Amino acid sequence: MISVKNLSKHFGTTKAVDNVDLHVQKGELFGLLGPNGSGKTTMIKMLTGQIRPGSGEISVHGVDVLAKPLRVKELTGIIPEQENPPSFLTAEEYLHFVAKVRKLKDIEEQCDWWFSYLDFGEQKDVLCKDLSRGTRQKLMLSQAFLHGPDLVIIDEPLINLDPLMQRRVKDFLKDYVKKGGTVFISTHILEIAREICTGMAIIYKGKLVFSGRMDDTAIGDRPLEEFFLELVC
Amino acid sequence: MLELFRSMIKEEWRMHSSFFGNRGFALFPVVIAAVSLLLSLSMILFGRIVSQTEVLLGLHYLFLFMGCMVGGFGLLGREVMNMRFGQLSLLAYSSRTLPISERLIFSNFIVKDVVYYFFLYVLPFTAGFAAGAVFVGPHYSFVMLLTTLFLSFCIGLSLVFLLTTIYANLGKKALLVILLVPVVFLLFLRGTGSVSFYALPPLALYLEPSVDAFLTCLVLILVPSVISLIFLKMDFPQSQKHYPNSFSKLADSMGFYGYSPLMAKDYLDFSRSGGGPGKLVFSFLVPVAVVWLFLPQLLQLVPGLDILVVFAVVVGMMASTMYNWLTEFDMFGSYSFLPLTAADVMRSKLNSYSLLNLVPLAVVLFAVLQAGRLQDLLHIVLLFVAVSMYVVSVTVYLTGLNTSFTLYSAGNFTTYLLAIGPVMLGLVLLAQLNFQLVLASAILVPVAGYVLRRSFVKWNL
Repeated sequence: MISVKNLSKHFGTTKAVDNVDLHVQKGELFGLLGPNGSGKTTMIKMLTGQIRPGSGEISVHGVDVLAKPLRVKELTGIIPEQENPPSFLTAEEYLHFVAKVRKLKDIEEQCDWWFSYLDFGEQKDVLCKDLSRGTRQKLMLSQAFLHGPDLVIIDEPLINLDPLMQRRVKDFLKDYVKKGGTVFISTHILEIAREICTGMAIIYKGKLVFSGRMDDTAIGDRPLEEFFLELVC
Repeated sequence: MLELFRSMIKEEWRMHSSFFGNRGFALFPVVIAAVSLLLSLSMILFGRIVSQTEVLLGLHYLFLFMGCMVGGFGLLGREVMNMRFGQLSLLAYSSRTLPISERLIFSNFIVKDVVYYFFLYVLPFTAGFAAGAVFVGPHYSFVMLLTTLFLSFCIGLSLVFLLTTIYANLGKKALLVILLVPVVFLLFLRGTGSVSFYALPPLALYLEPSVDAFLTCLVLILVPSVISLIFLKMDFPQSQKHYPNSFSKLADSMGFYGYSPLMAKDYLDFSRSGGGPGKLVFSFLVPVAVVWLFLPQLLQLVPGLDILVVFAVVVGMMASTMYNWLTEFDMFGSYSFLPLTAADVMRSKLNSYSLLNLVPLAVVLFAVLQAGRLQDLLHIVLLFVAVSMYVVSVTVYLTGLNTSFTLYSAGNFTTYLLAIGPVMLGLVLLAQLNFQLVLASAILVPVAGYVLRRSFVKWNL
């Protein structure tokens, strides 16, 4: 589903991503782990065609991201790290806006389902700029799944959500993968990865220091934290 | 105290320079000095219809207005700043997280604005203007002019800080007071005759220097500032606004345009943001009305000048500022995860711009009718459309979707002036040679199209 070869991106003298190879299979719930500033967000922006890499190849859905970034965005649900939208549209209007941009029709039922599932129906007529960070996160989650994508890429999926909502989103993601979807998340919260991911990669100072399945023998029975610290310290 | 002040100065500098580099921003005062020098030199012509006292009147009110604008940004610019930088990233909001009183922060904020804009605008403008005057004739005392223009700026700044304090404490009730202040001021001036416009203390100080006038200036700066500090309230009343879903119908009704969802969003952003449709009145219609009233004066300078041609050119240029209204609340980052390119967003803004241009078009039509020149309608409308398209295309090329910030770059601002000034002057001169030559403005339409195509390539990934 995702294939990355020799991917690099430098900002001045800083190597944000340095010669990374990565492969994510269809049906995986894949976690990209790493400390703050390790290159996770830059990776996601390159995977989704939001910024161009310095060098390397990226294929998502079999589509060359460099050649056809719009096609990748059409096929993929994307939730950026910053909880956009800073908009004067209401939450409900924003979902309709995304639907129109994606040329979707009859999304009323879907919207209602998301308002109910993530419990923010009472906020649906509030301007996005006035919403709390958590509610904006719920809105961004909703918009990413509106077009029923096969792949969803999420930068820090649970960061602004309360424990109840975190539980619901985790359940939803696991269920989504069971039904054949693929999820790629980036996070620095190891418990999330341990609980829901089937595969993972660890990035540190722009370099990929581990890539494998959650039940990889290298990890063994150790706590993920111990394994993680061993690699990055 | 000093550390906070230094940090605020650094923050202000970096905020601006982050958009166009240190050198680009550092040269901005040089451009301001050059523009004011040219303005001063233009008095070779305009000195025949404007006296030195009237020039001083204009300059002092200009800086009073500029002070109001800078101060007003603290109130009205919050939406823009919050969207672009986020509240928590600014030092002005650090009392939430650090043991610093809001009063101390606000004091530093005022002093920072005063110092910063003194070097950014007041000093270079005065230096350029006084230097130009040396060649033209009427003598201006540089030190005195610098002092009084600076005092004008500070009065505007402190007055608006006071108004924002009133607004913060009283909320909507304060709007009535805020609206009443200029009305009462104007009524007072009207009651005492137009000569009272010269009663503005810094102007009076320049014209007739006295200790009393100087003290009056200081009182007008210090009293509102001290009151603002005493009644300081950093958190403005917050309320969540609720709206029914009007997006979908609006987008459907614009379906005949390309990018109708983005246009519908533009319309809702425009109508629901601070100032709302009032921007159209105060930022466009009022200045246009002033231009319309002032233009006949030009006839004294250049007898036989076609006022309608000049008006169409000026309105076309002023109309281009509407593009800024459409971009001030947007960043491409808000769309970058959707199947849209930066060029798509720019095209949608230009579609919205063309809709908004119906207002200036109506103004131009009205002017043609009022001048009784229906036979020239086609020429004048073509001229307006061509100028509006050309100027906005230059704006888009230079600034993309960051119009309000990016024009602060010395390089961009100079290019903007050079790309537009000679062309506009050329059009007016052509019309003087033969009115039919106005049709030559049609060439600007394909030129604008070409510049826009280049812009889309330039600003795309």
